[in-house]
Amino acid sequence: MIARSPMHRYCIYYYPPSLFLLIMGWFIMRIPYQHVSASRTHLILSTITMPSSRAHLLSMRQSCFSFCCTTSNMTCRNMSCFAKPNMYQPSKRTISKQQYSSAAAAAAATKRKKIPKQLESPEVIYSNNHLLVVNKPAGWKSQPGNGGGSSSSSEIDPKCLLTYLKSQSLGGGSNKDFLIPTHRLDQPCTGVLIFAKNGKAASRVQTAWAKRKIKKTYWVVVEGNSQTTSKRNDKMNGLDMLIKQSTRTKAKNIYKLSAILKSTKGNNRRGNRRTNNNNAGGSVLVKPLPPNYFSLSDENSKDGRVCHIEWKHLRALSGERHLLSVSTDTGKSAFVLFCLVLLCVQYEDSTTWLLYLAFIRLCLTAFAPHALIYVTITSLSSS
Amino acid sequence: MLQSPLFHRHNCDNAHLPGAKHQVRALLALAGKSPISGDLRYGNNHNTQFYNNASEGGRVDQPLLDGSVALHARSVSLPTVSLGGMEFLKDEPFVGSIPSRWKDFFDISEDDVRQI
Repeated sequence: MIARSPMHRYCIYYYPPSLFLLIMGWFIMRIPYQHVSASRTHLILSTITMPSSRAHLLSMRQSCFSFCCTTSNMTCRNMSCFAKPNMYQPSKRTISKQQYSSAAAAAAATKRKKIPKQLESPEVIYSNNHLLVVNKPAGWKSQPGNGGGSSSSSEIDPKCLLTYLKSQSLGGGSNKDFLIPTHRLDQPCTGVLIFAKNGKAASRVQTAWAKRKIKKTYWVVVEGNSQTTSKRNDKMNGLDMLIKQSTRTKAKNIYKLSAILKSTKGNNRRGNRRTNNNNAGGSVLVKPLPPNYFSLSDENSKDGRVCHIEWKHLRALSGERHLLSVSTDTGKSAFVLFCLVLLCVQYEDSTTWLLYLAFIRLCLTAFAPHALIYVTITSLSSS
Repeated sequence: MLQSPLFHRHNCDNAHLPGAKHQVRALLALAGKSPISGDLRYGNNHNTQFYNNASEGGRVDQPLLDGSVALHARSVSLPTVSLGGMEFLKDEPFVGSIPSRWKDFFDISEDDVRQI
């Protein structure tokens, strides 16, 4: 049935000691991982962010810790779906003035009924003939529809930022209404939102998203637990649960939190409400991973997708609240960087197996995740 | 040809799945047990499937006054995008100032955090 090759002997199915080697290999892989990821973050921090001495000054002044963090955020792989134009093109139909006035009337009516105060108008951060960058206030939808990506709803949504910006003639083209969203933000969230004003800019930005070349940093305010169990009274007071679940990277004050995420949207559509009970109304099912977890890959599995975020404490606020800087993590390019850093940092005192390791890491980026196992086995057994 | 069952690369089709929705919100609230302020959706109820002691960790009981979630996309940088007349993209990110309402909610304003 399956053609046998000499290499095939080393496959786990045919070579009994390979299971042992596999486990050994896994342990070996685990050890330098922390070093590597930490160095990587250091490297990126040193290249991108401002010197941290300023932050030190600030922390001395205010007896709370503040820090700058602009970690490399290669957004989650699945954001690549935004790059698909068919999914993300706004509706091309031009809206007549009558429709606009009726929409405005409808908007006014709904606002009178439901929303006591008007939505804050978005602040334009940057605009030229290619891009429009706005600071989205809370409450605006970044795209029409219910967030499902469909722009075919018949009524004009008064809370849709895209429609609003078009009506303000902030778009490109001759009618000043050509705008393509390149990513999105949740409705109650705020922050930088980039629109493209022509097709060329849109495709380039969307390609960058898909390749995870865009760095995005979130700032969040989290609620710590009030009855803290940690004895020491320090700046991170109340965040001990979060720290306990996170992996400490070697870079200062950057922690990494991992979990398997699974969207339950599809289940809900089919009327399966089972997942809602576990999840308190959220549409994402989360399975936490223990700290120091090392995944062979960030690929999807049936259980969901392994997701990482890196967070950094910026400042303690009143109560048990804390301002954190968060970035989502690890694209393939980061892995290549792992290898390079490993080679640079540990070359001097390394033995050949460290180089092997780097090679294996490289293989991980280049080939299928399962190829990693294969390479480990073959390299160990041949040496 | 090598037809090992270890090579399942093409089964790992990740290009057609929806985005990691609510990634930050869900991870912080459910995995880290420190929900984002105002995020009633994830912060109000703990995922009891994985934790025995549901009283541990932070909790969101009250929405913020304007119904927002305290998640702010602070900066986006596009170092690889090349467009005419936009060479600054390579090293300058777009930075959005934090919402003015955070002054009321958390007593923090843009002037406080500009240096960070």
